[in-house]
Amino acid sequence: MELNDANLQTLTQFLRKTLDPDPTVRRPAEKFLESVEGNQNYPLLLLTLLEKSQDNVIRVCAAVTFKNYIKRNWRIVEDEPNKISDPDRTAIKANIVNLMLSSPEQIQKQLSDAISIIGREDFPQKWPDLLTEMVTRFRSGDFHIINGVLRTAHSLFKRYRHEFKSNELWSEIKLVLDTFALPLTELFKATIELCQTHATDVNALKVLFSSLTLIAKLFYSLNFQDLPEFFEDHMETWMTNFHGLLTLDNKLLQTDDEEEAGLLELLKSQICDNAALYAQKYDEEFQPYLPRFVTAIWNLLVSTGQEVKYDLLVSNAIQFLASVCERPHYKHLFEDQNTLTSICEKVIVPNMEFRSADEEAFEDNSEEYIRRDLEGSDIDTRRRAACDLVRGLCKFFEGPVTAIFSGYVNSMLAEYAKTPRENWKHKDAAIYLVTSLASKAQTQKHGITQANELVNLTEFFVNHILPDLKSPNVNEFPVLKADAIKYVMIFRSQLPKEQLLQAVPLLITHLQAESTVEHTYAAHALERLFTMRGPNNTTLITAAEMAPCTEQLLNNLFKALAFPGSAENEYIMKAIMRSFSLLQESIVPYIPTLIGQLTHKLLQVSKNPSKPHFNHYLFESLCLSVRITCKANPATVSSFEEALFPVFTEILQNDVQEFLPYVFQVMSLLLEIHSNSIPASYMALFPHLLQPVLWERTGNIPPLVRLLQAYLEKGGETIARSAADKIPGLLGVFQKLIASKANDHQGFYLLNSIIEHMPPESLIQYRKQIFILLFQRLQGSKTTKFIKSFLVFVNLYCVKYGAIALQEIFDSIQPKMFGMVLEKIVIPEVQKVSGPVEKKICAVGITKILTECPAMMDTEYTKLWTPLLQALIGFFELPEDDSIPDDEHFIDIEDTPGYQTAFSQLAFAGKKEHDPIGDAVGNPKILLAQSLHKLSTACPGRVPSMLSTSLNAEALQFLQGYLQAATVQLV
Amino acid sequence: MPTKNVTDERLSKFKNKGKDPAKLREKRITECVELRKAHKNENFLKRRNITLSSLPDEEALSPDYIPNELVTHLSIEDIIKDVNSDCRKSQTRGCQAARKLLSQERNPPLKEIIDAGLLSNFVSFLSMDDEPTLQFEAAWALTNIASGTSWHTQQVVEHGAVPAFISLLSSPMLHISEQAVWALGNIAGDGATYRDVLIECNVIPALLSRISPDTPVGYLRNLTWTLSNLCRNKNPFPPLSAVQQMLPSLVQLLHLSDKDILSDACWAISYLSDGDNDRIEIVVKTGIVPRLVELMSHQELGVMTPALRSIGNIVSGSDLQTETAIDAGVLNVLPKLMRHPKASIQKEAAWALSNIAAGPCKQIQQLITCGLLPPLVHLLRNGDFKTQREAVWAVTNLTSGATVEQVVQLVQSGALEAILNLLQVKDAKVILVILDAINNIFMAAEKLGEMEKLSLLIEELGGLDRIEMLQNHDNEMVYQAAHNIIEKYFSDSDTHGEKVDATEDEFAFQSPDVQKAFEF
Repeated sequence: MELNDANLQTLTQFLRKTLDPDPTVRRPAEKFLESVEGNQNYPLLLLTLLEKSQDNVIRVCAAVTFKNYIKRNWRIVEDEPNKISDPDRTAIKANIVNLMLSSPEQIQKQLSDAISIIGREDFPQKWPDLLTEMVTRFRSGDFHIINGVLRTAHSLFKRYRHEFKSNELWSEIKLVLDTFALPLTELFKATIELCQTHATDVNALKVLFSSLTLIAKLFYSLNFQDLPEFFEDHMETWMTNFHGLLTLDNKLLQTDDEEEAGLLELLKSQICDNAALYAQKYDEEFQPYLPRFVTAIWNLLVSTGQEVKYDLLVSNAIQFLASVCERPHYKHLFEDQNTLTSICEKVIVPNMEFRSADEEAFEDNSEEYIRRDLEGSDIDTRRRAACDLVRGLCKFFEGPVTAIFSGYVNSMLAEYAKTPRENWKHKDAAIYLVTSLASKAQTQKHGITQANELVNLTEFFVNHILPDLKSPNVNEFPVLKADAIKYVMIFRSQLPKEQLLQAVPLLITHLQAESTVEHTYAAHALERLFTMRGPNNTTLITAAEMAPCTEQLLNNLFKALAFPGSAENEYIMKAIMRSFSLLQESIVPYIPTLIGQLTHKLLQVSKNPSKPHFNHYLFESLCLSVRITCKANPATVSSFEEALFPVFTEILQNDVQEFLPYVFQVMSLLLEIHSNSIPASYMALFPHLLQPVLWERTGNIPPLVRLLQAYLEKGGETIARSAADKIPGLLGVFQKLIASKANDHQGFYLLNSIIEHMPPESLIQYRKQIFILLFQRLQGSKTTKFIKSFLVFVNLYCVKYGAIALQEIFDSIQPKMFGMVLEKIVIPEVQKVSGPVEKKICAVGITKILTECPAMMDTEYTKLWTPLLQALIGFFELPEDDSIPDDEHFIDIEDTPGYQTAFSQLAFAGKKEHDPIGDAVGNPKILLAQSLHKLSTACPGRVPSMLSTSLNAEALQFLQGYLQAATVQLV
Repeated sequence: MPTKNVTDERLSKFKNKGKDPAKLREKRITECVELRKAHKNENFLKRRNITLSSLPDEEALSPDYIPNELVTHLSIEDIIKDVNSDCRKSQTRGCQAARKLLSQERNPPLKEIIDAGLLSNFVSFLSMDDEPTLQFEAAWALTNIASGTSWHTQQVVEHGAVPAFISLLSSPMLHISEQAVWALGNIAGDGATYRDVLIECNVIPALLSRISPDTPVGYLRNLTWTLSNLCRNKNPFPPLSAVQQMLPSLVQLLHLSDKDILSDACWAISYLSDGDNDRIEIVVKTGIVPRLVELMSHQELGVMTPALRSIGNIVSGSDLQTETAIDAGVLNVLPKLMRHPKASIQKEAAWALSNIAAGPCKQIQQLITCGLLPPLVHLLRNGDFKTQREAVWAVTNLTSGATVEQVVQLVQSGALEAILNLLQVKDAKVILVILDAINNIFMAAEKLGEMEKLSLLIEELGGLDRIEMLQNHDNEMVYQAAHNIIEKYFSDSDTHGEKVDATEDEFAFQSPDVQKAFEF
């Protein structure tokens, strides 16, 4: 591509087309540009356009295209072709800084980004003159240019803040310091002087303050890894000026905007960060300056307003004080009673106040409010910072701080008492203060677990919390109501049980409050109280204690779901689930109504599932309803099926993907309740469950396998009789699962159920093929997990069909196959089998092979008899081998097909473990002894001689123990 | 100069590397880039105006003695004239004037003297045994030049001063011999190259022969300092044969009581032990470890510091080498040093502890039994940043080698709370090391079946919030590590196909037509 007018023209046309809203115009243009970008001079054509085009739109478009081109192509990847020619690279580096600095801001930003991308690859080795070129511009006196340089430098250096120390990194920093530190310092001083000269010129000040902010950011990056010698030597200059800027206020720079932070706030906020960096990492060197900064930052806090625009500054400033006050050698800075009082009064209390922004959120954006207030996403808020400062101060001054705040709490409560309507916010602050003062440790599961002993929580509850909860009008002062509910919720582990019991009916009443926050908190508090454990690990609050208010609880919870904005309120649904779980059979009388409401809800949400937690708890609640009711009366299962199947059918027909795993689990639960026959309604669905599309989704596999297992258990005969044409499809599912390293165990679950429950004659034609598939997988990619499942299956087959059948089918596939499997798989690997049921199956299966398989006695397999017995005794007596070969650690990753709906297991749809052998064999060791005895009587003399020739002494000893316990002798 | 810095390569420098990759012992690393100022209390590389202990009363020195006030006014030109004259007296006068000029504190005219070509004169004066005053003045002048920059030292060496100084060591005049000791110390201190030039010229036997019960203490001080410079610098280390030659005398010197001798002898040991396990072994074999441990409690900071550093180096060696320090009682001394008012001592002590914590669980048990956990937690909470960093390594090392019970003791001592608080430090590496420790502690909890209890404890201590916040960290590895912990220990688990021929309705159950024989 030549650098000529014709090409510039063409490029201009295509760039213009990339801006076209019509994708049929836009896409081909984008494709064309991508197809030519490998040509030499392409980037230079873009640079020419962004500099010289007459059309501003084209200039910006060229700049953006250029930056994206650099982003995609600049990095040279080993073993891949260099995507940008060397002459182009050289030309770009030679011109870009100049171009960036002389361009208007929109283009400057793009080029600045491009420089930092190039810098990341080439700087410093392959771009040695970049820094000097930039530094020279400091002397230009043009702050448009200077800010361009500073911004570029910032994007180049900011990685010093998070990268690990390395010689390479530090060499680069050293080089940067050598060229950059002194000019930066000079620029800093000069800029501050200019601020004084132009103190009355707003426009000049704005530019200068953005420079200062960038300089302060650069300072942070350059000082992050370690304290550079240069900055240690010039600490006086920097810190004195930073301090000066912290205390500076210029009316001209104050903004009217309430939300957006102004230049002054941004600069001061960065200075707080810089001071915090030095205080944390370079304490020894910074010590002489620290007290000054503490005072300045404290004064700053006292004089800063409540507007949202100051939030970041205030929270940074408070966090600075919080980190300093807990260091032992700065203790003295805070020790004085007056200082402590002022900090409490002027810094902490004002920042704990409920602001109008909080009030707006409470009313109009309750989700956000709840997330901040309840779930702890309040990291950068003032309240959180103030709380951290309280905690920091309590490290050394718990007594005095508690005393000071107690005074405040009392006076704020008194204010409230005088005129509640005007002063309710004082009470809110008082409650917040008590909470932050009292809470020393907290978890989601238990609430506050350690409290400040100097705060009387019970008394506060009785005098100030309970009255609000008891007030007849639940809709009055909703914020205070929410505070009171939250108090009960978070201090639940600290309050005596009788007070909690006193609170429960009141909380139930608050479920009817119109305020979303309030009724959500009530639901959440109830849910948390119901999970509390008492002695004996039972629930603290019992179903009996709840009896008087059971009906109201259930009523109010469902009514709360009717409030606008709470239709899919996960807290309420979780409280429903938890109430069911607590109340157990007490809910049975209400089930007919409840199930109607739940299915109605399910039908609604299935139209557009959007709240995963809500939906999950909804299904859990359904499971609980089924379990609790059918436990008392299994016959009621049909009424649930009547209620649920229409909705389930709709969900299946509409393929509501999120819900399918849940539906399969509930269906399994229902089917498992049936006693030994399968209703026709289920059979009608059976062919649909085999559809490949369902099995392509990972999240469906576990619940579908379980459902098919339930089908087989209850309806093996029925399937063989009336749906025999579906057996290949069923086995096809097995084949599909077995091919995957991630899902093969699920395939075995299914296969085991097939072998266990299907009539043998229905499978005859498929048996050989099943084994061939297993052997192929064994040959192709065997993993420990596969082998373990394979061993369990082989032994189950042996138990079910007999040892002779097993040997014959193996040997029919390939001569001597049976011996090979015993020798290469069973004997060496059986020790790895885990799980009590699995172990029992293997023990019984191997016992059968040893004692009921003539080929083991009379053919060349005889040489395997003793080793197999020895392996079985080892299997009984030695610890399980849980080692995993090194090459298998990453299997899961290899088979993960990317993100898909994860399997959402329902806790209350749990399945009991199935033992196919059951009571038929009590103790497998005794079975072995008895079976050997039987064998030895059938062919006297052979067994003892085989034992004495090659069984090792230790194993023999164990075996004798079994024989004794079974009171049999070998002959 | 031995660096006090711990670098990123720490992980690849475990002392037990190869034996157990989980062990995190670490050596000092020399060649790393520094941003900081050279450390302040590092002992000086070269010295100019040290006092000669054996300098006789000046007037009594010789009949040629010229009082100070008469020589100080000589200009460089006069000096050049004097030194180049044939008259011994003028030469002495010139030489002395030059020496005085070179001894001045501010901007001694090193370059001017060299440029005037006087070095060859001075060197030739060194061999004039019959002119002791001239010999002495020349030696002093050359010493001062050699104390300059490397270039200055190079000029002195290239003029052939080394053999001349070495033969001066055996001068019967003690102050001349001592001046030679001093000059050679400055040359040795320049770096590994000149150090080895000196060793090649057999400086060591010549020096050691001056040590006798009668040697004045002042002389011994300078001699010890020179020996320490001969032990100094890595890449390469001083030759093993030279080390073997010096060690018996150093051991001897370490049993004296003079604090300056002890200080330099300890520094010498600290240089010799600052290397791989073979180097450490040579030091350990001398049996000096108990004495070094004893000197860690010396009241002089100048002795305590290098003694601590030497022991720190030794415990970065093999388990057996560490054992000798433990047997010598290092674990009884460390708690006191960890509470020392000076931050640099705390840091060095924490570093030593981090290496002991990287040992086998038997040594970890000794560490716990000797009560090292409380001071460790104290440092995690209250130390300065560099000390906290070492203390964090100690915790992580301990958690990777300790038994389950030992980890429980660590947690109960308050270390978990302390490291969780440190998750807010502004250092990506330290954060990653802490996250490692948290993982290790979870593995111990898993064995005890107390995972849930630990998760709750971490949440109570405010750790969960901090770990969650780290999922926004700009450092990819920190983000990943934090994310993994959250996924693994603080959330519910998740679960997860392949192509099998299928129709719309069901999969086809079939086996491939071609079949090879099975062979497992």
